[in-house]
This record gives sequence, C-alpha cells and structure tokens, in this order.
Amino acid sequence: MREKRGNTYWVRCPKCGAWFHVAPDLLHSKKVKMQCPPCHHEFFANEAEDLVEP
Amino acid sequence: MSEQAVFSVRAPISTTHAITALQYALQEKKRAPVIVIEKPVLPTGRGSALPVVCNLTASRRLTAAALGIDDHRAFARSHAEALSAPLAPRKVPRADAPVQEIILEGKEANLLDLPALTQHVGDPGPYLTAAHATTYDPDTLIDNVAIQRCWVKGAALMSYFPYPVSHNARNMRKFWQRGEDCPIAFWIGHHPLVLMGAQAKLGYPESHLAAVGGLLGAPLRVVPSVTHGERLLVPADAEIVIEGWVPQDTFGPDGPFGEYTGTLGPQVLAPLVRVTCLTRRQNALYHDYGSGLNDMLVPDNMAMEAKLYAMVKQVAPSLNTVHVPVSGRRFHAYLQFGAPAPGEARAGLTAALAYRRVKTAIAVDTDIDLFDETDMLWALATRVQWDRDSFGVSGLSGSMLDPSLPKGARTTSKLAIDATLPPRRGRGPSPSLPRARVPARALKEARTLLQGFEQGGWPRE
Repeated sequence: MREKRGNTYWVRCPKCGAWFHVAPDLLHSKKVKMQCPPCHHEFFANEAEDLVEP
Repeated sequence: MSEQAVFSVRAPISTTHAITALQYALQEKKRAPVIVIEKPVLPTGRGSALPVVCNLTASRRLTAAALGIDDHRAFARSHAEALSAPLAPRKVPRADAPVQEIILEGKEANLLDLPALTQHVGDPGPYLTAAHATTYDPDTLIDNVAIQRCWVKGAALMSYFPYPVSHNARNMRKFWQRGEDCPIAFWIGHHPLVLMGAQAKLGYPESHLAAVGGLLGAPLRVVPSVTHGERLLVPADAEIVIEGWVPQDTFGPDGPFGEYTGTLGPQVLAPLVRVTCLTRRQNALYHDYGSGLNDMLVPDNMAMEAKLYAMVKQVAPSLNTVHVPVSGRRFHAYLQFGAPAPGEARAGLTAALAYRRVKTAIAVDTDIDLFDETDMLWALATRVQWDRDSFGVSGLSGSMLDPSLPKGARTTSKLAIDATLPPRRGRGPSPSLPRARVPARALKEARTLLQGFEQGGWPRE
C-alpha cells in the first residue's frame, strides 16, 4: 500500500510569526517575494522564521 | 423573481468576512435568496457608494428560471443545444452603453473604492471574485472570457490568477512572446444568462461573447473598451468594467485564497494588472461570488453539465441528463441513462472521465433521482459490485486544485462506477430485484394527510 503524504509547503512570517502556505514556484522564486497575508511583510524563503516541507 | 427571493440588508455591514459569513449562515439553513447589501462598509470604515449583490446564483432552481428553463433537471440538454448555435455580438456606440455612463481614468480610477470582499480567514485582502477577465487571441482576434480572481493591492494595481492552462493565460503568453503587454478588461455584473454563457466550456480559440449570444437568442450588446478600443469589446450592459494591461513577465504573490474545492489554496506566483480605467453604470451594483460557496459552484457546475452532456451523448445516445452536484465541488458527475444498451453506460462513463475536472463519474437509471444524494447512495449500495462495476484510470489530466493530489503530480487518477441495473432481456422487467414502494395513490393520500399539521416540533431524522 502506498503511504499517504502531505503536499503543502508552510512558511512562518519573520515579522509577525503567522503561518501561511505557499506554492513551490513562489517559495523557490529568486525574483518574487512571498507576502504575509495578515501583515503584508514581503520576504524570500531564506528569510522565513520557519518552513514546513511535505 | 419574487420578493422572497431577495434578502436586502439595509444596516451597514463590513466587506471583511461579514457578508460571506451571511452566505454561510444561509447555506447552513439550506436557503438561497439573492442577497443585496445596501450599505457595505469598506476596510477604511468608509461606506461604499456601490451596493453589493451576492448569492445571485446560489439556487439551482432560481438560476435555471433566470435562464428561462422551468425544470432545472433539463438544463444540461437545453444549454448544450443553445451553445451549439453561437451568435456574434453586436457593437453599440458609447452613448448606448450603460456601462460607460461613468468613465474614470488616471487617478480617478480607484479600485479601493469598489466594495470588494475579503471572504475567508487567511485571505490576504479584498478580492474581485466575479470579474470576467476578457482577453483576445492576437492571431485571430477572437475573445476569451473567464472568471479569474484578482487581489486588489492598490488603487491601480491588482494580481490576477489565470490558471496556467487556461485560454486567457495562453493569450497572455502570446502577447508576451511578441514582446507586448497583454490588453485586458474585467467586467462585473450582468444578467445570469450572460454570466452562464460567459462560463461556457469552449475550445480554443472560440468566442465566449458569441456563446452568450447563442444563449440569449440575440447578439450580446458590446462596446469598445476605453483603453483598448475596438480590439477589446466589453458587454455594454455590464455593471462595472476595469481596464488595463498585464505587463510582460511581471509577477507578484497572490493568495492564499478560498478555492471552489472548499479549501484555501496556497499563495502562488501570479501576473499583475496595471489598471488604466474604470467604467460603470451611474447606479452600478457590485457583484460578488462566494468562492467555494453555492453561488459560485451552481452556475459553473451547470455549465459543466451542458459540456458533459454534449460529450457523453455522442457515445451513449441513451443519456438522459447529467448532474454535477455541489457536494462534489466540480469533481463528481452523475449520468442518468434510459435503458442503455449493453456496454453503453460504461462508454458514457469513459467519455465523462475525459473531462478534466471530473474525478468520479457515476451512471444510474431513470428511476434514480440524480438530484437526490440519498437516492444516489442507495443506487451505489444496491446496484454495484465494486470489482465488476467500477474501473479506475490513472494518468489523466485533472484539476491541479484537487487538494488530495500527491506532491508534484501533474495528472490524476479517476473512477467510474456503473450503478445501472442489468440490461433487460426482451420485453420483461430487468432481471433484478424490484424496488420496494407503496402505491402512488396511497402516497398521495398520505401527503394530503400531513398537510396542515405543525411539523416544527417533530424529531428530525
């Protein structure tokens, strides 16, 4: 039987600490920053407070 | 439309969460009136000049009635027939276009003045959810229309998320490959017939504005957009139009956002739109679809039914009708057949699985009510041997919004279930057990007996 695994990347905003989920192409983008939904802070993946990979 | 079909809220109500919560509360009660918010309150605390209309198409019966169809169950066939005879739109002068009664350009065109809703927990801000993104194929000049979400980021800036395989995304890439920005217009609010026609599932490139004409039985009135002129026509009788450009290879974050799946999709890379102009009626209404709620699912699922009907009917002539239930989002298709020949129901099921969004297709007979989930489950419980009557297919194109897809998947697995009775042999009944029932006359008398009794205090099922 094949094991069920997750499929979603979660990041934590370095400014307000909120968790939100991001598509891989945005997460790995070197040009476009992610934007925290509650505080609108913009940051790249290497600046994230924390990161959960599936 | 009867007065009872409209629920008007006269008290001020916030565009952040409160209006969408009202839709959820009504859905819990299984009620689907059209909602009019007369005094929406913007995030700044200021009142909006434009009322909000939502839940416009939450009722399947009301939506079918708006299309002039008495019985919503017959929608798939009649819609498929209407779409097969498109009519080119008719251009009218600006003076005859209510949507251009007010023209706001430059700094006057302020998206933040629109009562766009922030619907769900986790949405990053206000979204246009009923914006019909209209582009054209630069090779053929044929229009394409699709509802695609827009995050309002500033007075003249929004992100816009065309699904990568969508026809609008294809048009956009064609312009970009020519080294040009993509002209675009978003129109909001129109008669449900126009909204349904615009969502018709067509090939590429095929005109959605002409498909609308097929449904209307008359050409759709269109007017040249202020920014793009004759190249990009917009419905003259829409409520609001937003015009602008999608600059080449310019992206921003978009989302998370509530999807039709009922889940919150992730933040994605999305093109940005630079807004140049906003036009509207003098007394415009702002239309919103509750994303993932019935008012968004019902019309699009009904459009899917018409497309599925046309696809399946070609290989299975005994197809009677199709239902894409909102309970299955856009992943389930129920097909009803009238005495299918041996193998015919399965041929029809196979055709249905070819439709990208359909993940599970179920075939039943005409004695099963496709619009009653209990009846559908009864058919599954009593007419299916899983190893004999179901078959799976892997590696098919599917919706990449399906939350159950494994990481990195580009295709999906699908299931067909044949819950029809065994074919008849000769003139007798089907060689299977009959359904238990009471005489029709006794049932009618029983219903009469119940009339007039107060049933509110009786125990629920």
